Parts: sequence; structure tokens; C-alpha cells
Amino acid sequence: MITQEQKLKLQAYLDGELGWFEARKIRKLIATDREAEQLFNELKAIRKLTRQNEPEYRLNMSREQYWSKIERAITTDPLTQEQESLLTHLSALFLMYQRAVVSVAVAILVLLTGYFIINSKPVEDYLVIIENTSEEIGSFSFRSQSENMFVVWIYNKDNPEASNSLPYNDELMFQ
Amino acid sequence: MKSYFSKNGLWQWGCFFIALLLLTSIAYAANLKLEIYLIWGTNDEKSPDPKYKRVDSELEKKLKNVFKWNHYYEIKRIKGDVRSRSTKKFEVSDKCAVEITEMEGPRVEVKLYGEGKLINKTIKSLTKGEFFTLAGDDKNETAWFVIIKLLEEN
Repeated sequence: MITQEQKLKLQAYLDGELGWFEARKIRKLIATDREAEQLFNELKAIRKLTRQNEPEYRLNMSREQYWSKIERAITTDPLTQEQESLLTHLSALFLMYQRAVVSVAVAILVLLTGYFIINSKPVEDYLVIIENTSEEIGSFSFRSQSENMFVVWIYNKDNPEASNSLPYNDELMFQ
Repeated sequence: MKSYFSKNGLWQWGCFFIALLLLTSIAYAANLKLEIYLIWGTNDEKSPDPKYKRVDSELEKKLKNVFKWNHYYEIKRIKGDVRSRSTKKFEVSDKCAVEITEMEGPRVEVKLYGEGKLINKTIKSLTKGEFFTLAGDDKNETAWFVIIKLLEEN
């Protein structure tokens, strides 16, 4: 049974981090101990797999340029002092008049909603209901778009000619 | 933000919204300023009664474009108000009257009475400048017209 320290040394040997003397000891361990040999082979296989399948990231600039760019981004202040003071001033103003700003916004919203409700005409508004209360009385209606006139023509049913007394006009929309 | 939704804050907001809604509904409920004409249409050159005058040329042109009669005489012209959600009766002649009710939305109910008897009831929307006409023919190839015109709503 190999110890934890031996396991770590096996990994270090594989990575080429051990000195000559230590490396010799580990080589001897691998040769004599079956468990150490098995672990070494496993670690080697894992390293091979990860190296073969590691995604490769190619920089389109030199390594130094890349890192210096990141460094500049970290060290540069994103806002100038003037911008920062303006932002602070604006947020302070907003906090001071928060109530008023919110109230005005809500009032505008309510008024706009009311305006749209008023201006949206329901279908019933376009309907015309005509009712004759006597059986002797008849009626028909029509609209003249050009004259902006809506007419309810009332006639006596006993006099059939009366309903035909209107001039026919293509423009009239009988309803 | 806590103060906005505290118990007192909610009451204040509630009152504010109710006041706004009331203002909106008051603004929507309209008082109507109307002009009502009783007009006689005939093909005779002569006025049926010397008291009746020809309607103004603009209205005559309008009526001629819709109806077949050549001459139109104004028998009576009434200007009146109908308050929001209320009813008002206008006597347009000894025998004829119209009763107008201001209804929800832009609609009105118009009842036409002849000799005290309800003859016709019409419900429709009334828009400014529109000529809502109740009409019928009469003896000797003449016709009567009751024209309701919305002058203003406020």
C-alpha cells in the first residue's frame, strides 16, 4: 500500500519536478510495487488525454501585449472625475425629488391611460338603434357622408308611396 | 421606498387615483350644446307662411344634396343645452317635440313626439358638426325635417 506522499511524488515525477535522487527512488518504487505502477500508468494516461484534448487558444498578438492590455484595462479609471461628480450629483438630485418624480410619472401614466380609454370608441358607439312605437309608422335610415348627415325617415305605412318619395342617390348609405 | 407602501402611503395613493379617475370621468361626461331646427321642404316657390324664412344657403345646399325638395323654410330654431346624463324636452312646434337624453359615451337618445304621442326613438352617437335629421313627408308633396346639430360639448 503506497502512502499519500508517495502518490504525490508519483505525480511530481510524471511532471518532471523531482530531483535526480528522488526520481530514482520513485522509478524503483514503480518497478517493485504493483499498486504504484498501476497509479503511475493511470496518471500518465490522464495526462495524455488532457493534453490531446485541451482546447487551444491562439492569441492574435504577443503574450506580452495581451497581458499589458488587461493590465491597462484594470488600472485605468472607467470614469473621469467630472463624470463621476455629475453622476453623484444626478443621483443625489433624484433621491431628493424621488417622491415628486414618481408622482408626476404616475400621474402622466394615469392621464395617458384615461386619454386612450376616452378615445377608444367601443363598437356600440357606432350602432344606431331605431324603434318605432306605432305599428302604423315605418322608418328607414340612411347616411350622407358628403353632407355629414344621418337621416331617420319616418313614413306612414298606410301610404306606401310615401316611403318611395325620396330621390335615389348612389351616395346615400341606407342602413 | 418603504414610505410609499406604508398604510398611510397607500391611503394617499388610493385617494390620488380616485381623484384622478373622477376628474377623468367628469371630463368625459359631456354637457351638450345643441341647435334644433324644424324645417319645411316644398317645391313651391312661395313660403307656406309669410312668417317662415328660407333657410340659409349653406343649409339649403346641404338639404338639396340629400333630399328632392327644391325649397326649405325654417319654421323654428331652438338652441339649448342638455346636461350630462340628463333629459330635456324641446317643443319644436305645437304638435311636435323632441326629447333628448345624454347617454354614456358620445351617444344620445332622441324621442320624437307627435301630438303628445311617442312616434320614434333613436339611439346613436352624435358628433360635432353632424346633422342628425328626423324627417317625414306630408300632404301636397311637402316634408318636415327636425334637424339636431351638436354645436359644442364640454
